[in-house]
Amino acid sequence: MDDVSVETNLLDTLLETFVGRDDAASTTAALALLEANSGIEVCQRLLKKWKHLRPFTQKFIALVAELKKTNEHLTMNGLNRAEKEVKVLDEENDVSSDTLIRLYKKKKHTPVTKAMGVGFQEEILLDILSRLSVLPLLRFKCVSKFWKTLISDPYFIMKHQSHHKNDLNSQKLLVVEDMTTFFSSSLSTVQLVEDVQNLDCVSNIKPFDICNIYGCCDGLVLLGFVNRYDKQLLLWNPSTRESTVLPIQNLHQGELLSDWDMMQLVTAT
Amino acid sequence: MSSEKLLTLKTRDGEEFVLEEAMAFRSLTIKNATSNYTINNTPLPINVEINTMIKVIEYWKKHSERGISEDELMNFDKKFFKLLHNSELFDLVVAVDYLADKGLSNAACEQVLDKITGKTPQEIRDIFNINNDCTPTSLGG
Repeated sequence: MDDVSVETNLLDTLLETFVGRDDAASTTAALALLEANSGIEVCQRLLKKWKHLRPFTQKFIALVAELKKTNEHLTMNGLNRAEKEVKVLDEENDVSSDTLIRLYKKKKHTPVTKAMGVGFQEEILLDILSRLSVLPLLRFKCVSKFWKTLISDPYFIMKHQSHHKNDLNSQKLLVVEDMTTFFSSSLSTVQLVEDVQNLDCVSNIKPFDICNIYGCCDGLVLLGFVNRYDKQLLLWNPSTRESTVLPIQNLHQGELLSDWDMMQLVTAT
Repeated sequence: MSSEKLLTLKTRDGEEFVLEEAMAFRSLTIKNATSNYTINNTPLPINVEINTMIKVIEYWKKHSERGISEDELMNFDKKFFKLLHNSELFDLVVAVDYLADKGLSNAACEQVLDKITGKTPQEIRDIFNINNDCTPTSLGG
């Protein structure tokens, strides 16, 4: 048998070992990938030929689908983390098919340890937790290290936001009174009056004359504190009470900028 | 529309059973697995255990009934989930995620949500059988 055939047989057996168990799911994943990309010629042709494809080929397509899904997850977690993972995998093994299989195995077989509790896959727990409001989630960060990591993860935060974006019960009206006192009220008409909360803004701000709310996005509020000599920009999350002072460069002393200028400046920083 | 076409399924623990195709197709996973090749009466293997599958089929049967009102369905759902122990509920959530039935998946997840809303972290650990590996320092930030 020539080298190519030997290699093909070895890959065949390898795929069967790691992909073979879950036929229904891997077929579903493979077909979903081809159907989602049926605008691409190669996907169209593979779809047409699906019934006649070797099981090995079908499983390989399933692997590609899994890899795509994993990559998208990594992109959402930030390029740095993605680069680190790929670098580690590259160093561990040069052969590209081996890399695919390692990535697949890492994604598919999440170890169920005592720290995770019941055998929920990460995605299921993510789905359930993303339906909770912010306050209980913050409390649940101390359930275990795994839950803390999950709840703090940018992918989870994004999923949580998109789940609550259109929920009136989650939306709040922020009002500033007397420059120092903040009130938040639910936008749900039932709770409008009853749910008013007095919010403490952070205390690490120097004395100021004027406080402006410049805008808000994704649950974060941009506040500007101006006095005669200085201005400070603060990015504040009223739900979690976290805040961070933003560095401003190149602002003239005492100059009061318009709201639009402020937003532009912050975007450029 | 009732369909006479039947499907044979085989669970992870080796039990075989027959289901109406229309009902089985509530699971996207089963639907996609059968849509591209003929089975010729070979049972389709599914990664679910028989006990959990029985519960799923009970739910599917009720929700496929003709002429059933929203209220009756709501009452059924309430009773259905009330009878499940935590471990049975969790097995159901995992199974339904695999089977890809959005309706039942949502209902089951909402049930888990109900169980954890308003609970303290220690109560959460008891429900999910989680070890407390948090140290005071790891909790900061």
